[in-house]
Amino acid sequence: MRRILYIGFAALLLLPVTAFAGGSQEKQDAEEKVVTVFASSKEMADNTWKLRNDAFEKLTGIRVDLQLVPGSEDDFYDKTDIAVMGGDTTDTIRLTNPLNTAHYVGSGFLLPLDDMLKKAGYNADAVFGKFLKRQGGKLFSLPYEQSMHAVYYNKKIFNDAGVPYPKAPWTWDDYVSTAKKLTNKDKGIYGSYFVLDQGWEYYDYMLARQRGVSAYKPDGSSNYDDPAFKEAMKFIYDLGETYNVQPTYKEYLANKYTWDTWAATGKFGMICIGSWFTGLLTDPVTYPRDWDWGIIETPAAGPNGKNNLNAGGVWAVLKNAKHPQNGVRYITYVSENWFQAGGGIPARVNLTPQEVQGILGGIADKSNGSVSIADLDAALMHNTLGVVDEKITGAKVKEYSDIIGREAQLYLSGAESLDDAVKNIKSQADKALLSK
Amino acid sequence: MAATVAPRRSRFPLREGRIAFLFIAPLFIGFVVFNLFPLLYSIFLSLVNFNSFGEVKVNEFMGLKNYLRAFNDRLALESFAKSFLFSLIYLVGIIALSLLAALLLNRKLYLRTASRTMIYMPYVANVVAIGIVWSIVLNPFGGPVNTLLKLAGVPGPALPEWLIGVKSALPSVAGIKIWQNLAFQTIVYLAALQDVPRELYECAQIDGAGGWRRFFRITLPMISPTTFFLIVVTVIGSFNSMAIVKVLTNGGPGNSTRIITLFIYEQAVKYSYYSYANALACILFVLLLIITLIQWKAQERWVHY
Repeated sequence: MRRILYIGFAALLLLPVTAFAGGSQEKQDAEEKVVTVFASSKEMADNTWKLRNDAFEKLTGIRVDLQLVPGSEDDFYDKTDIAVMGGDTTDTIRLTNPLNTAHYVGSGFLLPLDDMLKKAGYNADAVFGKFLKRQGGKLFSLPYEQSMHAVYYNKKIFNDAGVPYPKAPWTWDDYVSTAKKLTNKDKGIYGSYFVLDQGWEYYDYMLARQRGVSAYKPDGSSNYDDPAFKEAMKFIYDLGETYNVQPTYKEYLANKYTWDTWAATGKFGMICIGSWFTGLLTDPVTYPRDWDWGIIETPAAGPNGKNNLNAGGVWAVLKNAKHPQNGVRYITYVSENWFQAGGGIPARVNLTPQEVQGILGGIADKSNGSVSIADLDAALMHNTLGVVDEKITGAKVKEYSDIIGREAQLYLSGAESLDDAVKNIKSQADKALLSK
Repeated sequence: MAATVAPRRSRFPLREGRIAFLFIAPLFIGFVVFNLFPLLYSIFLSLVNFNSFGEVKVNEFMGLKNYLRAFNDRLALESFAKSFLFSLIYLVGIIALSLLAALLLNRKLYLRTASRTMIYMPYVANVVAIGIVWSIVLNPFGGPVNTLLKLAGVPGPALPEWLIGVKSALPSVAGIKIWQNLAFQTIVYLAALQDVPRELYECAQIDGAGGWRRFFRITLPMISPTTFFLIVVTVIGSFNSMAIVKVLTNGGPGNSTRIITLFIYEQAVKYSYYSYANALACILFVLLLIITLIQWKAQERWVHY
């Protein structure tokens, strides 16, 4: 009798296990038509993501399952790092800048795509050509945009201040003098806006990048003692503290401004940012606005700084992907069609000039008459500038960028002199770069 | 020759031992899996080369290199110093305020139940919500606190910068953590105060002892075991403040609030220096152990059981 009771009790304990096993099997069957994608809470709520994923689901019948990465945008990749290391089986990830891409490729977190693309019958070279970047001869990601910088401006603020719209070519001195005319602190209007969050350190050396000054010396040490970097950092400081044309760093922190504040508030005259920003300005659901915007090429950093900044984001399939082939299908689709919902300029070589004009036309149409194809073409495609990488790239670039960011914060908040900040960046970066 | 018969040992103690083991097994297994193993693995990682993503290079024994690196790392040393400063502010603040709150709540107070409930609310609040609310409240540019200070006549340049000031950020974060955790210490103190025999106060009163004298000669000695317990857990808890720092300042401005736990997190998660991060964690563990042992030794002088 007792034995029967024991067996019954054991069976009772095992019941949920068998139920789980059944559930797991059912789930596995269902998941054959699923692709999983890491997404931040902001992306989960982003209308363009929804539009894009709906279109993909309709086209392929594969369900897109967004995997929420909770927390702030700053921590997104820290958390996905841990998840991937811990064996997370999410299929795909969007890597928004070259620092993240280098980190993920270097860490062995991404699946090589060549064989999988071949299996899918997809010729990436024919679609993305020169925009594809191979590491060690292998392809790990597909680019979804070429993010050319430009200055976006709020036409209402210009009109209210009676200031004519800027004309290219122009310089950062012209930008500052225009911003001064637009600034009206009594009305809460600033002429300029630069994102000063962690992760946007490249603005602190933007002028040096435009002048083509490398962040590394030939021996691998930091080149931050080059005067170009000091001048670049001072420029960002002066915008808030000397020219008073944008919030100071402390005001920026205290008011919790962020990368989309310019588009969300309509309180700032100009912003210099990548062409992905057109996605925000053509999304009336997430960023409703009652003002028109314009676009003009990036100002030059003097006669030897006539370069625009460029960076491109990519999509990739993660090493533990549960549905790698679905992942490949997803990233080929979103990389080709990112601009359809999100704006921006695709990193594709298989577009005819007419198609490119069509893409610009799409942005122009969605801008509700704010900009024309000619405006976009002049600012982004056929401007007077050369092209340089937006961010420094090279050894230990994540650490290097954080060192720059930390010291810049101290300088911008008035806790450190410019000379000390530059000196500290140089010494700390040298220590990091030259150690094994 | 008479055969000696060994006394038959009762099987009961053995059986009882097995049953006892079954009772403690869940805790024991939990301790081994979730405490002991991670601790030992952490020590192991700090001695090998796992300073990049990928596989742990078990064969690459690094000895104490990761530990020595910490002593040559200015940022790491600064982070330890900031943690100790944070701990000191937090400890003094929370012990003093929680005792004060408990003394008040122990009296017959108007709206005593409501006050007790309200003091407990921050303790159960979400840390992100706390971060958002306090960022707004302490906004130096038009936030309610500085607006009130301005109305009270504090001149503009003298207004505190709270969370965005390099010098004020650390004490501000410590203050917010005190506000958040005040409830636990207060409730423990309240229980201790209610255990102090009334007769002692009555006798002292008859002997002519005043309020302060009664507090210093009766209350403080009688609740000293509780104070000791709270000091130990508060010191250890103060080093576990990464979440609130991350939400409020993320270590900034610059490095002004980069406490050691945040620094360790960044070394591991951001830069993939897992062995170095584990070495720093082991150093922190040893330091906390030493602090606790000192407290344990010192308590013989001032704790009355």
